[in-house]
Parts: sequence; structure tokens; C-alpha cells
Amino acid sequence: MKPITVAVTGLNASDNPAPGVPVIRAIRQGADRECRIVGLAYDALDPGNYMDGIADDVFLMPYPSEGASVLYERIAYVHAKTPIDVLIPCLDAELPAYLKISDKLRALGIATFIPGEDQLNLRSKARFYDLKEKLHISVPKSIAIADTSSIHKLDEQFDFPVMVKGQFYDAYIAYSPMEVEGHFQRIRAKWGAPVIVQEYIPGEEYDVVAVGDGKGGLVGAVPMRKMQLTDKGKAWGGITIRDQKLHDFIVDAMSKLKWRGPCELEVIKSSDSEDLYMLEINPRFPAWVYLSVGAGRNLPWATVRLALGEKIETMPPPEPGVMFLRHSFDQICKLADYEALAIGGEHRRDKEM
Amino acid sequence: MFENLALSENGFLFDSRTGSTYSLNQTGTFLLRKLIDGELPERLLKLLGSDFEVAEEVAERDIEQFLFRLKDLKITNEQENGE
Repeated sequence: MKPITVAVTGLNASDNPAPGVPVIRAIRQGADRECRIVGLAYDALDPGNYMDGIADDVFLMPYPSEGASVLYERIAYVHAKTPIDVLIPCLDAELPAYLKISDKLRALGIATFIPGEDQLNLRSKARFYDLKEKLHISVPKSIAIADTSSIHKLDEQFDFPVMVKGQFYDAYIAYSPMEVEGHFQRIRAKWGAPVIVQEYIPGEEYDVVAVGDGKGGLVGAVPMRKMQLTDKGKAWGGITIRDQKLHDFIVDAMSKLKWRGPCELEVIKSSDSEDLYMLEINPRFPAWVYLSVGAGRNLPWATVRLALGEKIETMPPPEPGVMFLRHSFDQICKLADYEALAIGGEHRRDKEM
Repeated sequence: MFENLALSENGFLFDSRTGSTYSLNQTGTFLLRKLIDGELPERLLKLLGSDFEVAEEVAERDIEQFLFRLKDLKITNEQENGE
């Protein structure tokens, strides 16, 4: 088979790690052909830049805020140095820019497999309730508020408590309009307006990593329950589950969304009614995606193959009871490698050979 | 009815539908094993009495509390309503 080169972003591996390193591990494990990996990092101090057996080459990238044209120029440069066949963006903030340049990347010979603009917009927290109104996907009732004027009327629209969420991050529970206002001010200062007020659903939360084929089909999904959390509520351990009702819910949502590419779905099962509600759709792999490999459903490698235009059979639900526990370790790095990234913006291992 | 429950001989219980795990004591393991194997709850008192030296009224109370606990944790209740 023809060797391929896959570029992967998101090589940060802190206590709130990006998905790039586990995505690369999954690709390396799944690849049935010679596969070169190019890491696209935002910081010379991203630990994934230095891990043995992860990226063959690493290039520093401009931040998404610098715009799509700057991003394209940098990728064209990288592509000239080490031709890329497939590129997998792994961070939420990158997706809009990669979407804008996906046609130009295709013209260069670089394939992606990412959701379209409509899907990206629909899953944004500010428009999340549209999923229910337009697609009839069960989501908690929510409204986006841009200022404090509507807060005093919230008790007419919601039973308290409610969740108050930033459009990108942060979520707090509020038991009164007064508490909503406090959280609103804090979140707006940090993440900007609008701030989302959402119906609070007490229940058990599940995370699902899934890949959609873009035509309404589910390529594969691995559901898990978090077993231990960081102080930011991120999974530091989890276990695969099997729940037919949850699986049907995911199949239905992916069908209605016609989701293309990877995503992480956060779903809650109401403790009162056992009804399922979609809480969030993140348009990229989660950092715990390596669990999909452990569960025999290598979704990152499937995504590479889909990007290459290969046909993938629908994967059956995985076995329940596959656990992961995350750990951290101290990565020893060569000063010369750090220098190469910090000064030259690239580190190519083949130059060492 | 209990197809989502994996119970080991050591009393380690995994509910594959929820991802929850539990540690059961010897009698809890015995009782749940019997239920998983298809015994009716009404037969548990007799079965427990034949394998463990325990006064009938104590066994009856313990079984009642155990079944209530299973239901409270939605280990049995969820099975009945789930599909």
C-alpha cells in the first residue's frame, strides 16, 4: 500500500490535555500501511512535540485568531517540506479556520474529514436549542442572554435551579436569578456574551466519541462513563458502557445532523424519567479517544481512511467494561529540539538520521 | 432481565448499562447470583437458609433490605423498566 503522511494538531498534554497525542497513538496502532505523522503544535513547550513514537516532524502553527489565510500559508509551507495526505484538526477553536480552507487544502492534495459549516453552527452553545426546534433532538431548554435585562424574567421561563454556561467553557449551577446574574457577569468577563442559561437536568452523564459519515450514518461510537475527574470536571478515568437506548439516541442524532467526522457527545440520562438529553456536541475527538482503540473501535484510524475516500463498514457497539486511567509523566526533552522549535518553528526527526 | 450485570465470584458487580461498579458481601453475592440465574425473589429465603446458618426472621429482613437496595440503586428497577 502507498505510504501516507497524516498531520495532527493539538499536542498539548497538560492536566487538561488536547486530543492530538492519543489520536496519533491510535493512528500508529491502526495503520495498515507505512504512516508518517506530522505534529502541528501551537507551543514549543507542548509535550507531544518531544514524545518518542508520536510525531516524526513537528511544526509550530499560527494561532487560529490570526486567520484562515495565515493558517493556509503555514500549512502550504509544511506541505512543501513534508507532503501531507490527511490532516486531522483536534481543537474546537481551529475548526472554523480549517473549514474555510478545506477546499484549498484539497487542491493541494490534503484531505480532511470535518463537519460542515451548518453543523458547526448548530452545535454552538448559543444555538444549541435549535437542535430541538429544527431537528427534534432532545436537548435541555436553553436561551442565550447578552445582557442582564432578561435575567429577572428567568423564573417565568425556567424552574430553578438552572445551568449558566459560557459559550466556550465554564458552567455553573444557579438557584435563583440573583445567582444567575453573578455567574453571568463572571462568564461574560471571561468568555464574552452571549451567556447560555439552560434547564438543569439531574441525572447520570455519559460521554460518547463518535464518527459520522456525513450522510447521516454512524461509522462508530464508543460510550463511556467517567470514573474519576480532574478539578475541571475532565475525565481522568472512564469505562465503556453498553446501553441500547443511548446507542439509538446517538444513531438518531447523527442521522439528523448528518455529522461528518469525529465528535464528542455529552449526554445526560435524567434520574427522574430516564430520558436522554444531549448536553454538548464537541466537533473533534476527545482527549480520551484512545479508549476507542482499547475497546476495539479505532475511530481516529477510521477517520484517516474516510478522509482518503476509503469505505468503512459500520462498527458495532463496543464491549462494555473496558477501562482507562490517565496518568502523567515527566517528559525528558533535548534542549536542541526545543531550540529547533522555539527558534526555527520546526523539528524534523529525519534530519537526525 | 439481568443481562447487563456481570457478577464475579468475589462479589464484584459491573452494570454495563450504567458503568457503575459495586462490591457485594458474601450473602449479597449469593442472593444476586441466584436472581441472575433465574430464581424468583420469593425463593431467596429458602435458598439462603439452606446455605447459611441464619435465623429466618433475620434472613427475611436482610433479603428485603437487599432487594430494596438493588432497586434503590436502579440495579434491578432499571432492568425491569429499561427495554
